Formats: sequence, structure tokens, C-alpha cells
Amino acid sequence: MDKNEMLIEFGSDPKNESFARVVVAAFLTRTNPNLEEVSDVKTAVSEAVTNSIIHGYENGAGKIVIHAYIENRTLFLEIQDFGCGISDVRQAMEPMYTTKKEENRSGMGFSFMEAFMDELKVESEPGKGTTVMMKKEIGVEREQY
Amino acid sequence: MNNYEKIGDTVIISLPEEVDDYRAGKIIGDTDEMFADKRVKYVIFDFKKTRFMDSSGIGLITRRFRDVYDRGGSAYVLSVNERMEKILSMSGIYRIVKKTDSLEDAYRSMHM
Repeated sequence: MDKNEMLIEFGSDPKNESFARVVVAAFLTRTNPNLEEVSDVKTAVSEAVTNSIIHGYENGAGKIVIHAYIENRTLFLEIQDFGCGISDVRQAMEPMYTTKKEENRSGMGFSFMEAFMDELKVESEPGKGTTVMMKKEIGVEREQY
Repeated sequence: MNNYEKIGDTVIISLPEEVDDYRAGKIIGDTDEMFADKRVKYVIFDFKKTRFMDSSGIGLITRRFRDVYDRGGSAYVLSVNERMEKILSMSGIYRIVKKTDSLEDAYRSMHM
């Protein structure tokens, strides 16, 4: 493990959504981020972990792994589950697409991750699980939405 | 912790500090009974305490909007700070809910 690296694993309890984003936010402090950058990262983590819990594991038991590292002032994040996977990643990433409309899902999880991070990549294999990879450079001027 | 208030045809939901999937699910469950009342035509989401929200909150607002819209009503958001403004405007939710600065404003808009 590198000096600027972290790895945690935790169970797919919805209460761990806040745990996960607080851990990553604490890890991020070494890059001296502003409040907005912290909120952006927390939102992205929350979206990815929520996806793993409600889609990957269908609210059942399972393990979620967060691997993060920092190079210069860029955060690299990988959030992985070993759940059911996504058969059509492109469709899943379309704004407002949801397989769970009756459960009050907005279908905006991936759109939020995309909007709040600099890069987003999703790798998934049905039956094996999903890994969301994200990147965000801290301390750069950004255009407002 | 969460506050829900039903006044006549209006439900006011005071959102907690953080609205994620866990909290949004609880709020939906806690308010199901209130919205089962067909007389409820308006919903106001008060963001005064809220500093974090992810897309689960958008799912919550959309759900309650649908409840009142079916009855000819409308939905409002109140006390929206800078962060929440970013989340709400990005989500496109302003196509269906109105932003107001005070409860009085919301009531005025309802009965116009």
C-alpha cells in the first residue's frame, strides 16, 4: 500500500452510506479541499454506495470496498461491490433511467457522480459485481453549474 | 429528529441535516399516512437544516410531488442554501417544484 492510499470494506447497511462518505471526506482533507469540493466528493460516494446497496445487493447482505488514493491533488476513488452487476452499463448511466421507479428512485445516481467528479468509469459483470471508478482534481477553478 | 406537520391541505416536511437513501426512505415511510389523506394537496420541503442531499432526496421530492399533483396540488421548496441550490437545479426538479423564500410566500402561491 502506498503512503497516500486507503482501503476500507464494510457491510451493505444503508446506515453505512453516511459512514462511507465521512471516511472519504476525512481522507480528502490532506489535499486541503474547499467545502464545495468536499460536498461534491461526499455526494458521489453516497450515490455509488447507495447503488451497491439497493441495486448490487438488492438490500441484502454484501461487502462494499472503497479504495482511494491521492496523487498530487487528485483523488482517485474506486467503489466496488460483488453483487448482481449491471447487464447494460450504458443504459444504467442514462439520466433518469431507473429499474426501481416504484421504489421512488430518481435514476440520477450516475448523473450526479458524473456532474460532481471529473471522471467516471463503470465496470460491471452480471453475477460478479460492479466497480465505479472516479477521479477529481482538488484546487482547480470550476465553472458554476 | 424529522419534523412533519400537517395543516389542513398542506404537509410541511422539515428535512434533516443529511438526506440520503437511508433518511429519504424513513421520511417516505413516516409520511405515508399523511399523504394517504386525499385532502392533502400541497407539500412544502423545508431545507433550513439540510447541508447534504444526494439523488435519493430527489426521489423523495418526486414521490410526494406525484401524490399532490394527482389531486391538482403543488410542491414547494423552502430555505434553500447554496449547496442545496446546486443539487436541486442540477436535478431539474425545478420543472415540477417551486422555490419560495418563506412559508407565507408558499401559501400565497398556493392560493393564487
